[in-house]
Amino acid sequence: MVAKAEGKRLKAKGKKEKQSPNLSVEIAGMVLKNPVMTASGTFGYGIEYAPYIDLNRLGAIVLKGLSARPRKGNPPPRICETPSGMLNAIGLENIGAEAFIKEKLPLLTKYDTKIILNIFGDSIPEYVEVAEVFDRVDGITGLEINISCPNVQKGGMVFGADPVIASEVLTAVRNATSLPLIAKLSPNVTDITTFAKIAEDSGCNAVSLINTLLGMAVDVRTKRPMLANITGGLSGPAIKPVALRMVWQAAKAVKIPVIGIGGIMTAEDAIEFLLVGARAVQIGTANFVNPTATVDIIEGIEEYLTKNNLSDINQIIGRVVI
Amino acid sequence: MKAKILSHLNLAGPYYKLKLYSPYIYKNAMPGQFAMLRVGETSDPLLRRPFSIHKKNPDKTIEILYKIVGKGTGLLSTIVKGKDMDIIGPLGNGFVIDKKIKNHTLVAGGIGIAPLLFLAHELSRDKRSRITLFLGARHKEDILCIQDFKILKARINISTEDGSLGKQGLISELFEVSLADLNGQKIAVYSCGPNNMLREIHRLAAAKGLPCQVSLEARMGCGIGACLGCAVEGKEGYEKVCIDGPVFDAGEIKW
Repeated sequence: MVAKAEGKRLKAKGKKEKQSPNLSVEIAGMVLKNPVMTASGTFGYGIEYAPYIDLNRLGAIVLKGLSARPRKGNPPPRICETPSGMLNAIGLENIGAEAFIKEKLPLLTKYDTKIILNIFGDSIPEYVEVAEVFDRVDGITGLEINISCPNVQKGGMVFGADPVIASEVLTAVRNATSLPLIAKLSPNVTDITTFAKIAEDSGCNAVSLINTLLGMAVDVRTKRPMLANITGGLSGPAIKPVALRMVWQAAKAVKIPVIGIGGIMTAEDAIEFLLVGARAVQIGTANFVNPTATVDIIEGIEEYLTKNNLSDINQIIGRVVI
Repeated sequence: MKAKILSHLNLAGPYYKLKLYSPYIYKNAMPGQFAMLRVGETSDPLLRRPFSIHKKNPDKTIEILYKIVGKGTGLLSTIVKGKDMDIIGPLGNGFVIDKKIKNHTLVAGGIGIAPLLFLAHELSRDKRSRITLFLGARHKEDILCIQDFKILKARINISTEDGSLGKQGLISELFEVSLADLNGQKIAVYSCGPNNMLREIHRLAAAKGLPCQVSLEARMGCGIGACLGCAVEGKEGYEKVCIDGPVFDAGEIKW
């Protein structure tokens, strides 16, 4: 009996020694419990997913883009499916900064995860205004600056595709807040490294990429575009190779951390991004298909590390063999 | 969530009926609610498809009645019984039943009949309910569920555009004629079908001051209110079909 109990104790001890790998990463001074975040615009205001996953598991929640004032968004149809992807032209519909702080933020701060707000405006003063509003509020870990939405007339991609304006917006927001800043970059540019460097030079603490690729689809029966906005942003597995290439290029070009986004559906997809130099990833369209995608990916990354006898996630970041 | 496919029948032409074992949805679903189904295992088609819940059975199964309209439903029709269906539901807001009203008029266009059978079953639990069905479609092959409504002792009115069954014409015309004989009697109207039909049913009901609920269809990304893709213009800004609907008071919608 004694021997048996002893054996059990030894076994338990042995188990304890084989610790689960460290998944924690640091981005822009924010220590995340794991590298998996949600991508802005695909996770609502966060609470929508509480019935499906434990939000405490997430490295960070990045919320739907917020502007200083509420925004109605584009007329429908706003989305359409394409091969292994989807086009959207939501038009940055949101409830505005004040309503968010009052109605949504209190529901989120009770979770043990980082809250990152995606912000945008139609002009530089509007970007500054929304950044200043959030700078004064507790419970917000960082801001992601959207200079890459393809579905609005002003701001968005217009700012993110012009090096001079991009630099002005990012510098102005930098001066307006002390919160960690992530610049979300557009893939609809010739050289992504130019914009990654601009973000770095403007004092941003990280870059996230890619936002959606500008696309279009037509219904041949009606001869009309599938979206009321005519064009929309392409996301999903279809864009992953483009995203991966751009993340790889950006990670080599700047010293600030790169957050990889674009068509990540599985842990394997996420690991590809980490290998080419992303320090964290954002999960977007996958949330629509599978509301538990983020947690499945976190568990998959952990399994991959264990299987490969790696004790720390940082042992795979940027370790692509070329 | 996984639900075993107990049967998957081709009813006629492009119409199919899927029976799933799902104690959870059976327990929680209300008429007018929907579920998001994964129609394939690969990334193409990528998104889930929304389907209204057609029927619940005491053996904890639910039924989904659908029509092949494109790639997603075409692929769905090839899934055989015995397999597991990847399903999320029940979702959205269903029909609101006003217990003070005894006369219920259900107006369906084509496959729009799907959520109305579940509603009729729920209404018939109150023995005082009098159910009237108006069902219109293009051809007689598109007229479904007549037997189910007969069992519920519903008064049935049918129209087809080509006159192959029932009265020739649009179902809204039959509905309009019936309103002339109301004599001030209060009825509740519930409708599902093409948008043009719903707009007309709403117009006719509103003119008589009758309460009218409509079940809307939209392309959906997530089905849970996150993507804001399924917007429809309401009187007070954009409504989301998935979480604000799919059943709306017809007066809330900007037709």
